[in-house]
Amino acid sequence: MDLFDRFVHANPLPNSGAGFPAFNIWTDEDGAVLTSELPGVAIADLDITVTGRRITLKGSRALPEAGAKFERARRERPEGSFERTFQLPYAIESGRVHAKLADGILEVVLPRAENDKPRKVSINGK
Amino acid sequence: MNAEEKIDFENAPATAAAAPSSESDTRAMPDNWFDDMPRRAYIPAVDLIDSDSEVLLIADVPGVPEGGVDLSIEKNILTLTATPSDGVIAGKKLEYSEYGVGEYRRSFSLSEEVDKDRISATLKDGVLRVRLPKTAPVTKKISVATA
Repeated sequence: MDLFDRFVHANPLPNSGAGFPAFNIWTDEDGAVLTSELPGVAIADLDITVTGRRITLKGSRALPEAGAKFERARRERPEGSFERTFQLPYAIESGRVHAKLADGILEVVLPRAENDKPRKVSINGK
Repeated sequence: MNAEEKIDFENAPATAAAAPSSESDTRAMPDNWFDDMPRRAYIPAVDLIDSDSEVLLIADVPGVPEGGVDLSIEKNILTLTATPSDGVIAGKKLEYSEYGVGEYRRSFSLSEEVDKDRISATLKDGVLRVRLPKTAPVTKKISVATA
């Protein structure tokens, strides 16, 4: 086994050190966008719930070829069901959450709740 | 011996496809030598399904749009390169990151039985499927002459 092979075997999923699926979180003052790598996952197999500060992503990935009569000579792609919860530092406006799935990337827009946003206090002079 | 060797479909050394061949390249190091060096790339997770008629290679390449995959064969090395969209959310800052976005690259050495002219591939929802049909085995009858 050469170095390359050893690397591959030690890190079959180098992109998902924190569990499947891996998350990236993008933010600004209006809220957050969660992106996640979900190759081969259908929209019908995904369930997203938002409660307070938390977003939970549930789903499953079926590998259509898994049940085939063929021998799987190499097996690195994760399969089966998954569930991950991520907590943001602020409340999410659940009514305005929307998501899209394209090319195996999920994108969930999580607007910050209006009443949770920092408010500028105006000071009245005399 | 590992499993890939059994089916003659193994990972080539990481540098096999990208490294300049040492036997033919004896010129002085050009100024742009580093441009030819393999860049940092992500290794896609792969399943291989072997049957009598073909080998099916399935690779996870999330974020790669239609037209973003390049498959090339040089000698017996199949190299898969796939370029994802940048994954950047405009106007927002990456606050927390569990995955990086960049080119996927992986090489495989093909067995003699793969028919290189009939390889086909499809990309859907970030999953690449490459079909590698096998050529029908040729049986050759050798007659034995009697003395």
